[in-house]
Amino acid sequence: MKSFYNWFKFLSKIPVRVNTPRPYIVPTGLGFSYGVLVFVIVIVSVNNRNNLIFLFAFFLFSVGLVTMLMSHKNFEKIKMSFLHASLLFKNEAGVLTYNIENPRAKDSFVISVGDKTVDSIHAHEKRDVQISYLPDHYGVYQLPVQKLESRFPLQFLRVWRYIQPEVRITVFPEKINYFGLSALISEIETGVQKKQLQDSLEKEISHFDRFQVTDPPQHINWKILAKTNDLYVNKYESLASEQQQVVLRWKDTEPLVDIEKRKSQFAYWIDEVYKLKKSFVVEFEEQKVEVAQNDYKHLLKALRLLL
Amino acid sequence: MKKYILPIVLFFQMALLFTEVPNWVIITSVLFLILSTLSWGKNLPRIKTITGVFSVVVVMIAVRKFSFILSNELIASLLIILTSIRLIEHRFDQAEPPYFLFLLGLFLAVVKFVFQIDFIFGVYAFLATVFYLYQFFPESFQKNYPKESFKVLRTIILYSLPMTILLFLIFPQFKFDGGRQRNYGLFSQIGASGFSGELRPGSISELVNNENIAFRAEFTEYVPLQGSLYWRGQVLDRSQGLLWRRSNPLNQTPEIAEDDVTVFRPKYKIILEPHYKEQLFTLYETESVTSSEKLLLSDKNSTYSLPSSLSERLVYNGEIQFNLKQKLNQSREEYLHLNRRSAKVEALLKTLIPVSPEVQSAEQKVKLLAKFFTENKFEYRLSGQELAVNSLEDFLFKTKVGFCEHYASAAALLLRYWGVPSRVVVGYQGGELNKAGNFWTVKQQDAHAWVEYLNENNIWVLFDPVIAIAPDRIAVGATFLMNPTGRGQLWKQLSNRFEIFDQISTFLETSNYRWTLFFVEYSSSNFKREILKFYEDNEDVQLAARLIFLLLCIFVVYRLTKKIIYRRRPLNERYYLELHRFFAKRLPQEKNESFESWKSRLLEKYPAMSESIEEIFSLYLRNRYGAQASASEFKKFKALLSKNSFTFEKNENE
Repeated sequence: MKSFYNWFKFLSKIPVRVNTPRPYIVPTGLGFSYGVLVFVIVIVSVNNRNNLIFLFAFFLFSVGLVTMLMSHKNFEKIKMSFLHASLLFKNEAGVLTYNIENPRAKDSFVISVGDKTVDSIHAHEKRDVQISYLPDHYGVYQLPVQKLESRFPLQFLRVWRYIQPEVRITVFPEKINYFGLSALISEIETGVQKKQLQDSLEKEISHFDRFQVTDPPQHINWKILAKTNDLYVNKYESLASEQQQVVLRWKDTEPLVDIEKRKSQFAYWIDEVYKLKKSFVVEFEEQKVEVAQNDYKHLLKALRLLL
Repeated sequence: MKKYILPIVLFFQMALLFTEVPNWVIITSVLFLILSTLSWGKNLPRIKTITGVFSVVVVMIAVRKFSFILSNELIASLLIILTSIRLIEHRFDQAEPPYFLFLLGLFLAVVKFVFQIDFIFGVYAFLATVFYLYQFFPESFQKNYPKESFKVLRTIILYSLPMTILLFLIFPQFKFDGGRQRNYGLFSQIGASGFSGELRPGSISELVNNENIAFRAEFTEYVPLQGSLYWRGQVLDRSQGLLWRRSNPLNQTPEIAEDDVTVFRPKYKIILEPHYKEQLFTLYETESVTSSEKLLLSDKNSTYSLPSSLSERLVYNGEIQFNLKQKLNQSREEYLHLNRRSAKVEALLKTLIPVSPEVQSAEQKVKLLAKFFTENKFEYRLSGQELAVNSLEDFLFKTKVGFCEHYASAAALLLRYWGVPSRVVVGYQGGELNKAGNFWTVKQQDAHAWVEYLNENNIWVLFDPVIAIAPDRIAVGATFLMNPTGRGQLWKQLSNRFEIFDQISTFLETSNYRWTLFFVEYSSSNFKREILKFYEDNEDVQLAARLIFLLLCIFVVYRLTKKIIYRRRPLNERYYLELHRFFAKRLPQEKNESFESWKSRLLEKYPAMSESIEEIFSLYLRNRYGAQASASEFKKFKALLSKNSFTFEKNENE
């Protein structure tokens, strides 16, 4: 039994061709059992010398054939293309978004991509499918091979195709926090305090707008009113962004010694600060990248420093 | 499907097969079923190892017990036990549907059909196949798209049927004398009788409650009377008291005397069920018996048989030559042998014929005998008292109660006492006429025994003492006369009371007969020849075929013309056609209705589809009345309609 199982395992390791125009089609375990059933019935009909049983055996055989044709038709034209990937870190489940298209004039059913199953894709419909992906190494490399599969209609046959779009993805180093989260938070706080001390009152006023008649009275900053005897309203967004800018320095990870550990720690800090929606500056040796709180492009630039 | 329905359905399917397997299989599977019932609804741990060991042990026992690996009994036994073992494993809370159980259920239905090739079981097997095929659909698809899954199933079946017929026509049907013959015990229930070559008091009355079909007979050129249908099976000429045996049959042609050779020679066709014996059944005055499938043998007594036992249905044809008489071709003494003469019986016979017996003719003696049975209050009853084989005296003087075999044995013996050569014949008498199908169904309960005596011209003549004692048995047949208990009784009562049930029975029986006849006789070369012959012989069929061909041509031409006309239309007109075709079944535009009001009506009916409707209509208006419509735009429009077709239907359902 074990050797039989190994044999199946060996089959699954056979190198496959990706992006082939024609799908692979092989019976499932249920399909094999169904085939055995039809075979036994044919033997029984030979044994019993009965035309009626032959007829019934042929009917079951025809059902198998029709199922095969339907499986093929249902799957053959389905196209899959890559849309985008989420921020990917080593050993952390990310999301790859693919687009499945059914160019046929008929609906297709039960198509699965990776761990996701789509019950139906209507005629001429395009649908996005998100697949979880766990990268095991970091760097820039080609998208993993995805299996587009269907067992429709009767699950007797498995039709599949391996798809690997010509797209490269970037996987960043694994995020590990060796110093603990408090180290990062204190770093943020010290950054904020330093900033605040440097600011003078005039500079402070520049962060406020003059009160307009249309402004709600609760927005009036009473502290500034007391200091300047003038009406100013809070300028929330810009104030917040400038106040919470954090400086992340590569040299702060020096105690970890091992370069991989340092990268992991630094990746963790960058990601956490970005998640906290704070603007930050990354100082990586000679290079410096400033990231605004929603600037995804610059975040990627900052993370790429670690590759 | 509700999780508890499957075990119940499977149990009933297994119960249907219980009649085909030995008792130890039934007991084992029932024990397993009880075990599985105990675990129903409880989240017991999976016991795959235990059930696996069970399965292996059972397979080993079964293979050891049934010597032939392909025997049907082995297949049925394994199937029943494996299903009951698998049911122990079945959990109501398991996420994956029990696909293997579905497969076993499908197999159970098919195997039942294999065992009892009957119209009803054919329908049962087909319905079960459809039911289980539906279960094979992916669960989410079945749940979310029930309508679609039925449609897909319908498509699978409709596409499979022509392929089935094609395969049936082109595929050679291999045949092999397999396991059925080796398992007489199992199949004894199918062809229950099959006379054993001897007749003892009580052996025919055992068959009275047996409603299994022995054979069906069809007369194409004349309608015989019920009373004249004596189907001869075996001739028993060796007497040991009331026990009659068959002498060794010789492959010898019977000697026959033809009084008047008739030109009219009606034929009849018999479809004999497998009875695992050699004999065939023929009517009196049958001149020849032929079968396209097998070699048939005849013997000195004008009975017919097969070289080996009958393990499958057989079709054979008989040709009747009226006035055909069978002559004696052995010595008379052979048919006068009595192993013991009773003084009491001889005294009785003297009282019946005061003058010397030699003076009277055999016919007169037979009449006297019939009169004796009638006048002495002999009774025709199933529950006759047990008689020993040598107890002719007991029967004649004490019990006076018996079934056909008692009277036939006694009458043949009494005739031998009087010096009239006689013998007992066993077979069937009568049958039930199916008026719709115009054929006779002869059941095991129609089994009968009667006497043949030799007249002065050395010609064998039929004498049935039962006519004198119970004339109804011959006039109306055993089925109507008996009141058998057991299966089918309720249906019979219903049939008697309501005509519709009677009509259903007749229809089912006719269908069964017709399709059995077709498939039993089927061979692809014969079929082609028969079809051609049928076509050439029937002018009406030729006319109908030509008409169908003409209609088909007209249809094809019409479709092609329609397609060509459609393609030649300007694109903007095609937009109009497509749009109206799309909404024709949903909400068509009314006569003189403005476009806007139609659109608002659509929006009202399908509020959830408002976006799609707007998109369809804007694309339509832009291309129908706007600038030059392009082919790619039209393709887009068609795709849009097709894309929305499904969602519209879904919306309607909701």
